[in-house]
Amino acid sequence: MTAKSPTAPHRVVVTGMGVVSPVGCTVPGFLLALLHGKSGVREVTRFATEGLSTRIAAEVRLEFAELERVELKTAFAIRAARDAMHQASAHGNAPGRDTPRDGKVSMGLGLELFSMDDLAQSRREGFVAPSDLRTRMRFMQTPSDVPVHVLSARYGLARPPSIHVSACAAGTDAIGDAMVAIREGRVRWALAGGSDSMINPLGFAGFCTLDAMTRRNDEPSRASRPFDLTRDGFVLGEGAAVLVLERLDDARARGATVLAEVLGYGRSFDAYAITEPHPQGHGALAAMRRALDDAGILPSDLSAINAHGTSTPKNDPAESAAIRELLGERAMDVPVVSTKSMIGHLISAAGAVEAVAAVACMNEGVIHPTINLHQRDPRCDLDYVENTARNLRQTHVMSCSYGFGGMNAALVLGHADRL
Amino acid sequence: MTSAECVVVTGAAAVCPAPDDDFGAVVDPLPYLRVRKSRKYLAPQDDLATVAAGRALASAHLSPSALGARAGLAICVGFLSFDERDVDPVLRISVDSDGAFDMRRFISEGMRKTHPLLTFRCLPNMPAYHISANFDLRGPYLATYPGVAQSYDALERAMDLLLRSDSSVDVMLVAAVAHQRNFLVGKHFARIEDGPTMELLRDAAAVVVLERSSSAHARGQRVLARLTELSRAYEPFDPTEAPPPAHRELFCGQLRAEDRGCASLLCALSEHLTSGQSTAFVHEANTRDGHTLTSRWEVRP
Repeated sequence: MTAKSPTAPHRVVVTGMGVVSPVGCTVPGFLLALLHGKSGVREVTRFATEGLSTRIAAEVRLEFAELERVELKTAFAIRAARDAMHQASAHGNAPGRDTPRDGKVSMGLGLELFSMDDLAQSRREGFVAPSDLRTRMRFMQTPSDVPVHVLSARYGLARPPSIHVSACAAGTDAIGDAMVAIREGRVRWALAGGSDSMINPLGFAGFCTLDAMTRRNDEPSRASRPFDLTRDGFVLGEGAAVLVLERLDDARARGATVLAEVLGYGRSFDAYAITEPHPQGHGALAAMRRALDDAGILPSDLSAINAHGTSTPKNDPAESAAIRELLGERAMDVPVVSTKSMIGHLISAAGAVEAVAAVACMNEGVIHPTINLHQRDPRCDLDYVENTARNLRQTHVMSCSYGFGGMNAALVLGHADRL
Repeated sequence: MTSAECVVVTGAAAVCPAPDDDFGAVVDPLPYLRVRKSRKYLAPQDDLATVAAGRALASAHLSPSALGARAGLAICVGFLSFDERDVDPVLRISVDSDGAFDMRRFISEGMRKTHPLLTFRCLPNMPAYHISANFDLRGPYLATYPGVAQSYDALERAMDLLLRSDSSVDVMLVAAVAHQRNFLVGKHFARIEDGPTMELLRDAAAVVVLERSSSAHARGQRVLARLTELSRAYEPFDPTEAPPPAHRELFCGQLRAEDRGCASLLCALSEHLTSGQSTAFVHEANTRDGHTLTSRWEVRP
């Protein structure tokens, strides 16, 4: 195990995307909703919330056949992967057809939580192991490694899968990690993304106890308001996104349509505080700088930034400070958006869904708005594309995710026209 | 970096309390906390990880002031742990007369019984936070889950980060932590065909400190081991359609009855290195999630 001799790295491209979100479960539908500034936030329908401080969330409209046999995280991942593979296979051979054993799954996944329903039933039955496998696997709301094995088996990806549990940064980490594996020649292609749902009794109540979520229950569609002075916490969302990543030369050889290039990935620890980011965003700044270094571009090359933008009192000014420091004199020239203003915070899936948003917008030559931004926090002094989408040609976009507990990740994505 | 450069182990520590040990007395993170009042945020898995990291860094003669932006962490965390004393009172009060979960009862009564820092105790990235914050790691990370196969992923990723020709790190901690002797993990394994029983489950954590050989040499640090082979094979399977394959692990050719979860490799390696043995260390495993794993380590090369 010695140092690797320098070899020409492989360029890594996106050839398929699938998304399950509170505002749409196809990429075109998702993009259209974002461009129209549609909010997916409403009263929670899945369980009773009377008595909780927060009673709204961004739920996915549940219409999936998969839900009959697996729990939400797995069902979302299956649907997103199916659409990503469908798009990647629309022209030419399917990805990995000639190298099926050289693919891997890399997913950011939500934490397991014991399912109160299941635990109550299990307790009532004296904790006897149920005879059927699916019921057994539902215990603890399904161990979080299940989706990667399901996808690996379904699409024959036979390299060891990677499971990322870096909280809100996990989806971005999953894509970045898969990109590096392809670039360095360890795998040929990957299904990479994230899937999460914490809209369950224990997850939801836990965030209420932390007082981290908005209490703007009477106006759900206005509740997620990143960078606005009147923001009061995040809105919990759920969903998934999966991207097909592969070598550029493989994509060209099989005649695939390239959607974007994944150019760089950076990550860092804050090592600061458990409940809040560094007030000047030092960890976020380090992750963004490392992603730019990894991509071999300068801050001045960025066309736009898809921010973490949670709508919490502490994240938004810290993140804005980091971006301002990164961009310097160009700080007001680079649009910064928060997809979470419309779909809420998808936790471990957030980075992957927001990467899909960034690529979809880049390919349309538009940038989606940050909605509900009417009274900007004076500490948030960037161009946030307030409330209305904007035409914008983009060559390089950065997508950022910052996890609870100080884990920070950033991706640099490049327009396919550059290739 | 030269092509002969390799990654070496310069520090290692395992924390594996015996079942009848007083956990709090054996696994005390307080000496390692930068802020003592942060103690309330640590769950047992955080205690294990923090103590193992502190001891491993001490054995590598590295202090937090030497770490910072050029030091990172790759960590594997086991299944979510919860003690019965935390779960059962909530559950008992949150069901209807038929024993079915009742959300209204949960909100009105059960939530009062939940630990106010419940979320901090659930998140699988909290051990990573506590290690990074207490030992000032600000470099790259990998946080993965839940078994020994993923601890190999962490090990491989740490090696890759150190061996990159443009490496931005000088030190990588590789950690694995499994808090298993509790209600929730026990119940989880009870549902798996050949899952370990509570008698076999152990709480365990281990951390090894990796550096490039040139870095270790430059600071005069003794080398404990060098990885000479790492292989991982995977046979995809759908756990919702087929039962998991059988689990089997060999440590230098020997089976062990006790189960240390995702920390099994790093604990056994750390114990081997700190016992003064000079024979090679070999770990082989077939895991419940379809992996076949092998690693070989040259000791005191």
